[in-house]
Amino acid sequence: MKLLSGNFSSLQYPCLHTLQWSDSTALGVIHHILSDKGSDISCFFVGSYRSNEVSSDHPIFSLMKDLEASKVSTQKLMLEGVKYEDMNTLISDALCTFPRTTWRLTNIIYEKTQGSKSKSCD
Amino acid sequence: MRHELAARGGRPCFVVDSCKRFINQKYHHTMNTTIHNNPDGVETVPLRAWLEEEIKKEQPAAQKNNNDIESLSSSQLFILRKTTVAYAVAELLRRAITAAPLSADKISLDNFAVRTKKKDDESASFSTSPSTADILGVDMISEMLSLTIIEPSYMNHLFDEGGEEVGPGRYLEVCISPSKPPQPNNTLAVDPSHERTVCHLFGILLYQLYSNLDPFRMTNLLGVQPMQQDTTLLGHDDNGDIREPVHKKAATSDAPFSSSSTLSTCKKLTYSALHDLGSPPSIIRLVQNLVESKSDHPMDPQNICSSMREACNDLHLLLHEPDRFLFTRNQFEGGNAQLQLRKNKLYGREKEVSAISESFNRVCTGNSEAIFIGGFSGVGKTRLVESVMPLVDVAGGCVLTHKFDPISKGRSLLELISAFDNLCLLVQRENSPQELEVIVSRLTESFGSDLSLLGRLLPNVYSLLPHLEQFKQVRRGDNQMNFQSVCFILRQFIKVVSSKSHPVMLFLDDLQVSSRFVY
Repeated sequence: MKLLSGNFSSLQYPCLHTLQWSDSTALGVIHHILSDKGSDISCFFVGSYRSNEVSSDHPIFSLMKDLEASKVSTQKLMLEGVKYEDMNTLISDALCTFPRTTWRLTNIIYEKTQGSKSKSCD
Repeated sequence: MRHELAARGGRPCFVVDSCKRFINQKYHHTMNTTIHNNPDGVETVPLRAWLEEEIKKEQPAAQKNNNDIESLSSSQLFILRKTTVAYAVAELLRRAITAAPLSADKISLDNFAVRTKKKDDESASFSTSPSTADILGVDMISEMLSLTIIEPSYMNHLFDEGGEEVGPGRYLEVCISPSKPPQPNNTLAVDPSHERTVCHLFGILLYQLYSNLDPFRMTNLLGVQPMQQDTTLLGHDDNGDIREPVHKKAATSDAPFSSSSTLSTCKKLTYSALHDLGSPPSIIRLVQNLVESKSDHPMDPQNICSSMREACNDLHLLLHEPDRFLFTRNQFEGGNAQLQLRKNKLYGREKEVSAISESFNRVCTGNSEAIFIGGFSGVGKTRLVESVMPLVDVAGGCVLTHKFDPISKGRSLLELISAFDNLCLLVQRENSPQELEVIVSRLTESFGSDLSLLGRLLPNVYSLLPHLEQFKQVRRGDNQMNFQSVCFILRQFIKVVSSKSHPVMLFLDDLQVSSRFVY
């Protein structure tokens, strides 16, 4: 927010009002920039979203479709929780002990956190 | 005798086919201290003789630097050397049991020989530059197997994660000759109970290696009285478990033990001797788990180590990250053990990281690409992207990040524009004065009279164009700007500042918030 407020003060405020477009336009700008073929733009766009908080008609997905239609190489990654084996590696690292001896602890933690690393670290 | 010099991983390695040598030269399975000299500076020493040498070197080193930081590192070095040999022996056994069942006498110190780099003045050079790199390999005499230790130097760079301090750890690979027989049908399925026996015997071998003691005859290899009287360190293992008094008593009793001592007696002695010598807890634990693999009543039944694969993995881990796994005692002393979490490591995200880096590499060839990362809150989306950002830095690009939050509702475009505004500052910081000059001239050329429009959208652009500062103050009145012109201006701007050599990575976090309020 510090970053934003600093910039908003330098932006001219009348613009604030005239620029009241819907949010999908922000994604529209992304599409506009990325889909500019033939120029030498080297732009790498990475967008992350919480998959459980978006519906299927969300503008993110129409942006994906638009990008694909404009032949911009687009990838979708879905992150799952940390796998059981990786969780065991984490726990064995944290306890400085052999991975084969931490399976039981991993079992318990995995059941409680379902592979969320940040929760496991807490 | 055949000597091959193979460049592997940037580091030459010697593959000595020792089979013929073993056939030609008679090995005695007793205290054979003959040193076989090879013309190329490699000498082969029976494991028992090697161990005696180690003990001789270790004792003065420990006495000389008593209670010194130096003594700690030198004793650690000896443990590392022993662990290197132990790992090699484990790999040999792992390989040997797939071919034929092993009898007990094959899993003893006398059945192995260590190949080391020959030195002109061994004692002098050793004390000045001790290292673990002079152990070249280990031979298993009865099976005529020869193992060569290879350290691919590139692997060490790969595994140096997150800029953590590089310790003495080495990522080792082994190469066993002769290579595995091509017909897999001939390979016997390893009988689990036999493998347990092998593990048990290997545990005893490890115990001999680390304790300098023979568990059956209870005599030090050098004839020194075993240090079993001192029980001050006895009673705690790495878990902090208190040993039962009966064990302590057994360990401290002076009763002579014959070679027919029961397994449990060996076990108790194992821990006392290893503790007294200050062996790392992880070593004691591994020895315990191995020795107990054949015990009817193991003290730690959940963690017995009953396969050579596990033993190899454990030893490899100890060598790879000795700071974390081998020399952890100090961290846990004093009772306030802390979790040793790695700050910069991602677990189980190798596939995703490589997908993102590959995509970025394509961007560096002059394309634009997009990646969308979904996942529930806390799964590590941001951390994943952050782990790739150093790559962008290395490639000479700049990273523009913006995280939307619920307060962004209805004005995400503004926030996006302000993020681009920051890009001006990044560009100024990342580029050399010459490159900036080019950018400025291209900006002027590309925008022409519309430069003031760009300046109105991205005020920070004036830091790139100090000579146009006066535009900042003029034409305040007209603020109308439609979507198309914003798109156009931003695109032109990106076109100028991004290039193959200076790609721009735009990372928008939490997109779902940015667009939750769609009209």
